[in-house]
Amino acid sequence: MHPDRIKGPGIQNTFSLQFPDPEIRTGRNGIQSYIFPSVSAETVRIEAVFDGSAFTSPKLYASYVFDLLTRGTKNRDAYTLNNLFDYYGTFISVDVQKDYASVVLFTLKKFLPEVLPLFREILLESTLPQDELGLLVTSNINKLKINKHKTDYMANRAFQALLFGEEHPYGRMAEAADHQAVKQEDLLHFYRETLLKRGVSFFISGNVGEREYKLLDDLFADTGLAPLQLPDKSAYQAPAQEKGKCSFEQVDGSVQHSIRIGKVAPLSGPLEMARTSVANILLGGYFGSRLMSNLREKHGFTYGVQSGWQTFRFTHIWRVQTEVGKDVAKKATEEIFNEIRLLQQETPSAEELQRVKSYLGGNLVRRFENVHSLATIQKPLILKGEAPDFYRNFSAEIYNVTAEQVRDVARSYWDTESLSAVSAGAE
Amino acid sequence: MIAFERYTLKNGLRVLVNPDEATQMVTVNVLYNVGARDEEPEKTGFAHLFEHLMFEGSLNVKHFDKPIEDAGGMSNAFTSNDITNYYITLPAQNIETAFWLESDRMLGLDFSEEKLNIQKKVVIEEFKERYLNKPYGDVWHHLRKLCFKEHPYMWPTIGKETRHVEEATLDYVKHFFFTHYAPNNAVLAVSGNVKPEEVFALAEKWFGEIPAREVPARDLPQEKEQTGERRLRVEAKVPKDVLYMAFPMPGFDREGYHAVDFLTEILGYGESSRLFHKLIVEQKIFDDISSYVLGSLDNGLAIISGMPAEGVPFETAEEEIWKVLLEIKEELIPGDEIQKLKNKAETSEAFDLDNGQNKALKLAMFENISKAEDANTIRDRYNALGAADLQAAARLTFSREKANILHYKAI
Repeated sequence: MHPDRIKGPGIQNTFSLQFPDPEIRTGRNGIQSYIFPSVSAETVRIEAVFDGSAFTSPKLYASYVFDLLTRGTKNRDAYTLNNLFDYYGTFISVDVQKDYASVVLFTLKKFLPEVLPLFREILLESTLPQDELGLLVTSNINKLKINKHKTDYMANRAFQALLFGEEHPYGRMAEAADHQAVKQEDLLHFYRETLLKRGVSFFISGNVGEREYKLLDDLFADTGLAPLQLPDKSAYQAPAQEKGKCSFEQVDGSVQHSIRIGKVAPLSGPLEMARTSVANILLGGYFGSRLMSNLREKHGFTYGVQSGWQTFRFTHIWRVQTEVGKDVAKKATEEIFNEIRLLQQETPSAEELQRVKSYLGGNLVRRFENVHSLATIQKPLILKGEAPDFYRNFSAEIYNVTAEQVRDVARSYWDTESLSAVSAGAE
Repeated sequence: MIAFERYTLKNGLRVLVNPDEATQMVTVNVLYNVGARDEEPEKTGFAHLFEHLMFEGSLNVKHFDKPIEDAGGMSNAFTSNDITNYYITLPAQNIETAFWLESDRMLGLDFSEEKLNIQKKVVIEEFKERYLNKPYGDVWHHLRKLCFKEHPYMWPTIGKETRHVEEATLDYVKHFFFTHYAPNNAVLAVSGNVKPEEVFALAEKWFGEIPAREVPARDLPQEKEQTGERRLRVEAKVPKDVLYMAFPMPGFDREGYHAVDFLTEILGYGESSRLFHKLIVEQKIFDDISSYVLGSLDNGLAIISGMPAEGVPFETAEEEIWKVLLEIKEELIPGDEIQKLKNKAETSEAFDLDNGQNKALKLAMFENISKAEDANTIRDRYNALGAADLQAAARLTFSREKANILHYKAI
């Protein structure tokens, strides 16, 4: 039985993305919970989302408040709290982004009755202790010092600041002095008077039934917590549309340059998302992309090059990023622009276009593998007010994108005059 | 718990299948029993360079990734000191594409000088990106050399230096392939929405005709027991001093491994760990500290690493660590503290197993070490540990004459 090794097996190349919509429950306080249930695993993930956004929080406040939540409450110190969470096999992580901040609990169903009261305690009754704040400031300044020796960190930071401006909530970056200026009383005031008052939403995934939901609802029913309010669209000001800018960040002693090229580019709706995504994958979104084939597989300039989005609630950054040997940095940048120009001039072949669609379609199915990833993917869309079937529509639209549409995306979206570039490294 | 079935082909390839109807995807994982420990001292970094070449085309397939992408999948690989692991994840209906590609590159590679030269450049950029272009990036180069005097764990998977990668020849690439990339030196593990008997039939169809090859038995120089403290001081342009203390310990499947693994968690994993609480929070001797094991298959290392607080000299920092180590040698660890580790491990494992890639990898890893069944019983080995076992392991491991101490000094 000799298989045909030249042709290979037949394949299916369109995939239908199937996933259940969340069950939306409104608690006794009006708090919304989005539930993604699964009975096949014992795991439970609960994400409590607050408005720790850069529009609401003064510089670094949300970041410090969330990191300090587990460091002490009225009744328990940090060690006791962490010991208890650990004892009940529970991991807590915090995620502070430009648009919201959340506390995520990872546990097993059987530990929920013990762990949920503790979760409530850290969310609502933290004292943000002074000595813990001191430790955290030191640790954060150390991390910042180390990061400032890294070209990738410096390029990311400079790029975001360049695109939005340093005063913009999305462009604002912290320095050591900002960390030192954080005061406990200001944090407590922000935590109690702003953050908690702006409410919460829960994203719950895993083995959660009626009993588990009731535990949560009972615990939060008498807390006075309101449904989550996030900043209104009017809080966001788009940066002025202008020509692309360039900047260079000196990082002494580095042997590579980190390059970032792109722009602020809002995207709306599944149709536009499908067209731009197909174009983006083709340019730099997968291993076989034009940029990888050129910079890595043809020239050996880099270990990797990618293009893609950084997603915000009110807009997106689209960018190409790579780390390349410093002697070839200029050449690599030229090749990136060459590949963009080529896409603006010539439509891709049917074969390449089909490959990109298949890759993107299959990759979407892969990303929705379990209920925890489903909750993570759906969260930003739900918080943006998008319809829950956004991804189903997006996934279906992929297969309708034409070669001409890809070229048009390259022409309008990646107009080279409008792209900004940052590189970080040693001159 | 990973439910699976096993089938072994005549050429020695072992096939494991975990059927999972909850997913639309499937992961096909091929593990080769070869890693950086199998390299020659003057040809280091080769196993990893070779991993790159495995994506550069095989006998009948010019471009490895294109058919995967056409089938809606993705693939990747990693090399460790012990093994080289490849995987393809794709929609379950297209599983046969993965069998075609993986079997073709096990059958033979399409070697060319040009492809080798490009991948040398790519790997040298990877070397720069991960090890040279970051503060503290070369720590493991120094630490491995200090701790291993005989065993090839003395170099990291990326290799001792970029020169070794530059000097790789096409002849050696061929030699390496025929020596290690044999069906009888590999494990194929599949997890996803598939039926075991269908997977076994695919394995016969695509891998059955690949001949078994003679794989030389591994005979690596083993470390002699360390009998005296070793020290190294490295100066570098980094923002802060960092202290490393490394102690020899048993390999992954050996007696005593699990106790030391637990001890390093008690010492330095998370904010309720002893080193964190005592030396950061209470005494402010360190700004940052953690403890962990290498997890290598041959005898490896238990590590404590930390960043001393401003103005704290290395010597003071070290002595404070020794005090905490003395406690776990002299006093029994309370039952609650041990139970805490068991509960954390249970949760971590449950989240790990929510992912098909992890399940396939885990089956392959255990089959390669001993047998895949052990993936489902490994927790028992941890759960059986009591306070006396941990104390005995602490006494055996954390002694001054077995310490390897690295001062990474900021200048």
